[in-house]
Amino acid sequence: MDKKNLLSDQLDRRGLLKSTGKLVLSGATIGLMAGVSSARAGSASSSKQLEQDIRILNTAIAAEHEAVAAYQVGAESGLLSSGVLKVAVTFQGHHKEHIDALASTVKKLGGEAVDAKPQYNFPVETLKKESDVLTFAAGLERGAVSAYAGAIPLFDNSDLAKAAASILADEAMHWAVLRQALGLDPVPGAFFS
Amino acid sequence: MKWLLQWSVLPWSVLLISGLIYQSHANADSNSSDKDVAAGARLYIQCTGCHSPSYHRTGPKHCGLMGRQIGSVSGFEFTQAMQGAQFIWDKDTLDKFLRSPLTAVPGTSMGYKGIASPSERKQLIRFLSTLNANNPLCKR
Repeated sequence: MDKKNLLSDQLDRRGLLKSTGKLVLSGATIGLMAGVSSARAGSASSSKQLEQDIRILNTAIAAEHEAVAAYQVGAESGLLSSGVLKVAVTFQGHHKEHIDALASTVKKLGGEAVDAKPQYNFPVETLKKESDVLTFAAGLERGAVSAYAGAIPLFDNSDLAKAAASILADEAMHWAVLRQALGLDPVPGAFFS
Repeated sequence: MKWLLQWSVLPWSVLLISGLIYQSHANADSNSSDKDVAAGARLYIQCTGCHSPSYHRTGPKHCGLMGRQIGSVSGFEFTQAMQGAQFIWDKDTLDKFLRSPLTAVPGTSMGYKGIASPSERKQLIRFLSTLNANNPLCKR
Protein backbone atom coordinates (compact mmCIF):
# COMPACT_ATOMS: atom_id res chain seq x y z
CA MET A 1 0.00 0.00 0.00
CA ASP A 2 1.51 3.33 -0.95
CA LYS A 3 1.64 6.34 1.33
CA LYS A 4 -1.44 8.03 -0.04
CA ASN A 5 -3.53 4.87 0.05
CA LEU A 6 -2.33 4.24 3.54
CA LEU A 7 -3.39 7.74 4.51
CA SER A 8 -6.78 7.25 2.86
CA ASP A 9 -7.09 3.94 4.61
CA GLN A 10 -6.32 5.63 7.89
CA LEU A 11 -8.94 8.20 7.12
CA ASP A 12 -11.47 5.50 6.35
CA ARG A 13 -10.70 3.89 9.64
CA ARG A 14 -11.08 7.26 11.28
CA GLY A 15 -14.36 7.52 9.40
CA LEU A 16 -15.49 4.28 10.96
CA LEU A 17 -14.73 5.83 14.29
CA LYS A 18 -16.30 9.11 13.34
CA SER A 19 -19.54 8.71 15.17
CA THR A 20 -17.75 7.41 18.23
CA GLY A 21 -15.28 10.26 17.98
CA LYS A 22 -18.10 12.74 17.94
CA LEU A 23 -19.51 11.17 21.04
CA VAL A 24 -16.16 11.41 22.74
CA LEU A 25 -15.76 15.04 21.77
CA SER A 26 -19.28 15.82 22.86
CA GLY A 27 -18.59 14.07 26.12
CA ALA A 28 -15.51 16.16 26.62
CA THR A 29 -17.39 19.29 25.76
CA ILE A 30 -20.18 18.45 28.13
CA GLY A 31 -17.63 17.74 30.83
CA LEU A 32 -16.04 21.05 30.06
CA MET A 33 -19.29 22.88 30.44
CA ALA A 34 -20.15 21.05 33.65
CA GLY A 35 -16.79 22.01 35.03
CA VAL A 36 -17.33 25.60 34.05
CA SER A 37 -20.61 25.75 35.91
CA SER A 38 -19.11 24.40 39.08
CA ALA A 39 -16.11 26.64 38.70
CA ARG A 40 -18.26 29.72 38.46
CA ALA A 41 -20.49 28.70 41.32
CA GLY A 42 -17.72 27.75 43.67
CA SER A 43 -15.34 30.36 42.79
CA ALA A 44 -14.78 33.39 44.60
CA SER A 45 -11.62 31.24 44.44
CA SER A 46 -10.36 33.97 42.34
CA SER A 47 -11.59 36.19 39.64
CA LYS A 48 -7.96 36.56 38.66
CA GLN A 49 -7.73 32.84 38.05
CA LEU A 50 -10.92 33.03 36.00
CA GLU A 51 -9.46 35.85 33.93
CA GLN A 52 -6.32 33.82 33.45
CA ASP A 53 -8.29 30.77 32.33
CA ILE A 54 -10.15 32.91 29.81
CA ARG A 55 -6.89 34.35 28.47
CA ILE A 56 -5.39 30.88 28.10
CA LEU A 57 -8.50 29.60 26.35
CA ASN A 58 -8.45 32.58 24.02
CA THR A 59 -4.82 31.95 23.16
CA ALA A 60 -5.80 28.39 22.30
CA ILE A 61 -8.70 29.66 20.18
CA ALA A 62 -6.34 32.01 18.32
CA ALA A 63 -4.01 29.12 17.55
CA GLU A 64 -6.93 26.96 16.43
CA HIS A 65 -8.10 29.73 14.10
CA GLU A 66 -4.61 29.82 12.64
CA ALA A 67 -4.72 26.05 12.08
CA VAL A 68 -8.07 26.32 10.29
CA ALA A 69 -6.62 29.03 8.05
CA ALA A 70 -3.48 26.99 7.40
CA TYR A 71 -5.48 23.93 6.35
CA GLN A 72 -7.53 26.20 4.11
CA VAL A 73 -4.33 27.37 2.42
CA GLY A 74 -3.31 23.75 1.99
CA ALA A 75 -6.70 22.72 0.67
CA GLU A 76 -6.74 25.54 -1.86
CA SER A 77 -3.13 25.07 -2.91
CA GLY A 78 -3.97 22.59 -5.63
CA LEU A 79 -1.04 20.53 -4.42
CA LEU A 80 -2.97 17.89 -2.52
CA SER A 81 -4.13 14.62 -4.00
CA SER A 82 -7.74 13.74 -3.33
CA GLY A 83 -7.00 11.32 -0.48
CA VAL A 84 -4.74 13.78 1.28
CA LEU A 85 -7.16 16.63 0.66
CA LYS A 86 -9.89 14.62 2.33
CA VAL A 87 -7.69 14.14 5.38
CA ALA A 88 -6.74 17.82 5.47
CA VAL A 89 -10.37 18.89 5.36
CA THR A 90 -11.23 16.39 8.09
CA PHE A 91 -8.45 17.72 10.32
CA GLN A 92 -9.54 21.27 9.59
CA GLY A 93 -13.02 20.26 10.74
CA HIS A 94 -11.57 19.02 14.01
CA HIS A 95 -9.92 22.38 14.59
CA LYS A 96 -13.24 24.09 13.93
CA GLU A 97 -14.85 21.83 16.52
CA HIS A 98 -12.11 22.76 18.98
CA ILE A 99 -12.89 26.43 18.38
CA ASP A 100 -16.60 25.86 18.96
CA ALA A 101 -15.98 24.03 22.24
CA LEU A 102 -13.41 26.52 23.50
CA ALA A 103 -15.46 29.55 22.47
CA SER A 104 -18.55 28.19 24.21
CA THR A 105 -16.50 27.73 27.33
CA VAL A 106 -15.10 31.24 27.21
CA LYS A 107 -18.63 32.54 26.87
CA LYS A 108 -19.80 30.44 29.82
CA LEU A 109 -16.96 31.85 31.87
CA GLY A 110 -18.20 35.32 31.08
CA GLY A 111 -15.56 36.19 28.54
CA GLU A 112 -15.52 36.95 24.87
CA ALA A 113 -13.89 34.55 22.45
CA VAL A 114 -11.34 35.96 20.03
CA ASP A 115 -12.18 35.95 16.35
CA ALA A 116 -10.00 34.75 13.53
CA LYS A 117 -7.58 37.32 12.15
CA PRO A 118 -8.57 38.91 8.85
CA GLN A 119 -5.45 37.40 7.35
CA TYR A 120 -2.54 35.19 8.27
CA ASN A 121 1.04 35.64 7.26
CA PHE A 122 1.91 32.15 6.11
CA PRO A 123 5.04 31.77 4.01
CA VAL A 124 3.07 30.26 1.16
CA GLU A 125 5.88 30.87 -1.29
CA THR A 126 7.59 27.81 0.13
CA LEU A 127 4.73 25.49 -0.79
CA LYS A 128 5.79 23.80 -3.98
CA LYS A 129 4.59 20.26 -3.60
CA GLU A 130 2.31 18.09 -1.54
CA SER A 131 4.99 17.12 0.95
CA ASP A 132 5.63 20.81 1.66
CA VAL A 133 1.99 21.23 2.66
CA LEU A 134 2.07 18.09 4.78
CA THR A 135 5.29 19.22 6.43
CA PHE A 136 3.81 22.59 7.20
CA ALA A 137 0.67 21.07 8.66
CA ALA A 138 2.68 18.57 10.68
CA GLY A 139 4.76 21.39 12.14
CA LEU A 140 1.66 23.25 13.21
CA GLU A 141 0.19 20.15 14.81
CA ARG A 142 3.43 19.39 16.65
CA GLY A 143 3.50 22.94 17.91
CA ALA A 144 -0.09 22.66 19.04
CA VAL A 145 0.75 19.61 21.13
CA SER A 146 3.41 21.63 22.92
CA ALA A 147 1.11 24.60 23.36
CA TYR A 148 -1.59 22.53 25.04
CA ALA A 149 0.98 20.63 27.09
CA GLY A 150 2.31 23.95 28.36
CA ALA A 151 -1.14 25.36 29.09
CA ILE A 152 -2.81 22.43 30.82
CA PRO A 153 -0.89 22.77 34.11
CA LEU A 154 -2.09 26.36 34.38
CA PHE A 155 -5.79 25.58 34.61
CA ASP A 156 -7.21 25.84 38.07
CA ASN A 157 -10.30 23.97 36.94
CA SER A 158 -9.51 20.30 36.32
CA ASP A 159 -12.40 20.02 33.86
CA LEU A 160 -10.74 22.64 31.68
CA ALA A 161 -7.50 20.71 31.92
CA LYS A 162 -9.29 17.50 30.95
CA ALA A 163 -10.92 19.09 27.92
CA ALA A 164 -7.63 20.65 26.82
CA ALA A 165 -5.97 17.25 27.16
CA SER A 166 -8.65 15.80 24.91
CA ILE A 167 -7.81 18.39 22.27
CA LEU A 168 -4.09 17.77 22.74
CA ALA A 169 -4.65 14.10 22.02
CA ASP A 170 -6.43 14.98 18.79
CA GLU A 171 -3.60 17.27 17.68
CA ALA A 172 -1.09 14.50 18.44
CA MET A 173 -3.06 12.06 16.30
CA HIS A 174 -3.06 14.58 13.44
CA TRP A 175 0.69 14.95 13.80
CA ALA A 176 1.23 11.19 13.73
CA VAL A 177 -0.94 10.70 10.64
CA LEU A 178 0.81 13.53 8.82
CA ARG A 179 4.23 12.12 9.71
CA GLN A 180 3.11 8.74 8.43
CA ALA A 181 2.05 10.34 5.18
CA LEU A 182 5.48 11.94 4.92
CA GLY A 183 7.12 8.55 5.28
CA LEU A 184 8.41 9.37 8.76
CA ASP A 185 8.09 7.41 11.95
CA PRO A 186 4.61 8.46 13.08
CA VAL A 187 5.46 8.23 16.76
CA PRO A 188 9.13 9.12 17.08
CA GLY A 189 9.35 9.05 20.83
CA ALA A 190 7.74 8.11 24.11
CA PHE A 191 7.48 11.61 25.55
CA PHE A 192 6.67 15.02 24.16
CA SER A 193 6.38 18.38 25.72
CA MET B 1 19.45 11.63 15.92
CA LYS B 2 15.76 11.27 16.77
CA TRP B 3 15.48 14.99 17.08
CA LEU B 4 16.53 15.36 13.49
CA LEU B 5 13.37 13.54 12.49
CA GLN B 6 11.29 15.81 14.64
CA TRP B 7 12.88 18.83 13.08
CA SER B 8 11.91 17.63 9.67
CA VAL B 9 8.29 18.44 10.37
CA LEU B 10 8.59 21.89 11.82
CA PRO B 11 6.98 24.94 10.26
CA TRP B 12 8.78 26.21 7.20
CA SER B 13 10.89 28.75 8.91
CA VAL B 14 12.26 26.18 11.25
CA LEU B 15 12.81 23.75 8.43
CA LEU B 16 15.97 25.64 7.67
CA ILE B 17 17.22 24.70 11.02
CA SER B 18 19.93 22.24 10.15
CA GLY B 19 21.65 24.96 8.23
CA LEU B 20 20.69 27.34 10.95
CA ILE B 21 22.69 25.58 13.62
CA TYR B 22 25.83 26.20 11.69
CA GLN B 23 24.79 29.74 10.89
CA SER B 24 23.55 30.40 14.36
CA HIS B 25 26.84 29.51 15.89
CA ALA B 26 28.53 32.01 13.67
CA ASN B 27 26.14 34.64 14.96
CA ALA B 28 26.01 33.61 18.56
CA ASP B 29 27.72 35.24 21.46
CA SER B 30 31.26 34.12 21.85
CA ASN B 31 30.26 32.29 25.02
CA SER B 32 27.67 30.22 23.21
CA SER B 33 28.57 26.70 22.35
CA ASP B 34 27.32 24.69 19.42
CA LYS B 35 25.80 22.32 21.88
CA ASP B 36 23.78 24.92 23.71
CA VAL B 37 22.50 26.57 20.56
CA ALA B 38 21.57 23.20 19.05
CA ALA B 39 19.83 22.16 22.25
CA GLY B 40 18.07 25.50 22.35
CA ALA B 41 16.89 25.02 18.77
CA ARG B 42 15.41 21.68 19.75
CA LEU B 43 13.68 23.26 22.72
CA TYR B 44 12.34 25.96 20.43
CA ILE B 45 10.08 23.32 18.87
CA GLN B 46 7.94 23.76 21.98
CA CYS B 47 7.44 27.41 21.07
CA THR B 48 6.25 26.72 17.54
CA GLY B 49 2.65 26.22 18.52
CA CYS B 50 2.40 29.99 18.72
CA HIS B 51 5.66 31.54 17.56
CA SER B 52 7.86 31.73 14.52
CA PRO B 53 11.25 33.39 14.22
CA SER B 54 10.32 35.55 11.26
CA TYR B 55 6.61 36.29 11.32
CA HIS B 56 3.87 36.98 13.82
CA ARG B 57 1.52 34.16 14.65
CA THR B 58 -0.59 33.72 17.77
CA GLY B 59 2.50 35.11 19.47
CA PRO B 60 4.98 37.65 18.17
CA LYS B 61 7.98 36.80 16.02
CA HIS B 62 11.31 36.25 17.73
CA CYS B 63 13.82 37.67 15.28
CA GLY B 64 15.44 40.70 16.87
CA LEU B 65 14.09 39.84 20.30
CA MET B 66 17.28 40.44 22.25
CA GLY B 67 17.64 44.07 23.18
CA ARG B 68 14.07 44.89 22.27
CA GLN B 69 11.65 46.63 24.63
CA ILE B 70 9.06 44.14 25.79
CA GLY B 71 5.73 44.35 23.97
CA SER B 72 7.08 46.71 21.35
CA VAL B 73 7.58 44.88 18.08
CA SER B 74 5.48 46.43 15.34
CA GLY B 75 2.61 44.61 13.72
CA PHE B 76 1.64 42.58 16.75
CA GLU B 77 -1.19 43.37 19.12
CA PHE B 78 0.14 42.87 22.64
CA THR B 79 -1.88 42.63 25.81
CA GLN B 80 -1.93 45.67 28.03
CA ALA B 81 0.16 43.69 30.49
CA MET B 82 2.96 43.22 27.99
CA GLN B 83 2.74 46.79 26.78
CA GLY B 84 2.88 48.04 30.33
CA ALA B 85 5.88 45.96 31.37
CA GLN B 86 8.97 48.08 31.52
CA PHE B 87 11.99 46.05 30.64
CA ILE B 88 14.23 45.08 27.79
CA TRP B 89 14.60 41.52 26.62
CA ASP B 90 18.01 40.25 27.61
CA LYS B 91 19.26 36.97 29.02
CA ASP B 92 18.18 37.85 32.54
CA THR B 93 14.70 39.11 31.73
CA LEU B 94 14.15 36.21 29.35
CA ASP B 95 15.27 33.78 32.01
CA LYS B 96 12.77 35.22 34.45
CA PHE B 97 9.98 35.27 31.87
CA LEU B 98 10.59 31.76 30.55
CA ARG B 99 10.66 30.36 34.05
CA SER B 100 7.03 31.42 34.52
CA PRO B 101 5.55 33.85 32.01
CA LEU B 102 2.40 34.44 34.03
CA THR B 103 4.39 35.24 37.15
CA ALA B 104 6.82 37.50 35.34
CA VAL B 105 4.11 39.42 33.52
CA PRO B 106 0.69 38.74 35.05
CA GLY B 107 -1.91 39.27 32.38
CA THR B 108 0.20 38.06 29.47
CA SER B 109 -1.70 35.90 27.00
CA MET B 110 1.21 33.49 26.87
CA GLY B 111 -0.60 30.59 28.48
CA TYR B 112 2.45 28.49 29.10
CA LYS B 113 3.56 27.16 32.45
CA GLY B 114 7.21 27.83 31.83
CA ILE B 115 10.51 26.00 31.73
CA ALA B 116 11.61 24.82 35.15
CA SER B 117 15.10 23.74 34.21
CA PRO B 118 17.67 26.55 34.42
CA SER B 119 19.92 24.80 31.90
CA GLU B 120 17.09 24.42 29.40
CA ARG B 121 16.20 28.09 29.79
CA LYS B 122 19.82 28.96 29.20
CA GLN B 123 19.95 26.84 26.05
CA LEU B 124 16.74 28.31 24.69
CA ILE B 125 17.97 31.84 25.39
CA ARG B 126 21.22 31.04 23.61
CA PHE B 127 19.19 29.99 20.58
CA LEU B 128 16.93 33.05 20.76
CA SER B 129 20.00 35.25 20.90
CA THR B 130 21.03 33.96 17.48
CA LEU B 131 17.82 35.23 15.89
CA ASN B 132 19.29 38.45 14.64
CA ALA B 133 19.41 40.14 11.26
CA ASN B 134 22.24 37.92 10.06
CA ASN B 135 20.38 34.71 10.73
CA PRO B 136 18.88 33.08 7.61
CA LEU B 137 15.72 32.42 9.60
CA CYS B 138 15.23 36.16 9.91
CA LYS B 139 15.70 37.03 6.26
CA ARG B 140 12.24 36.17 5.09
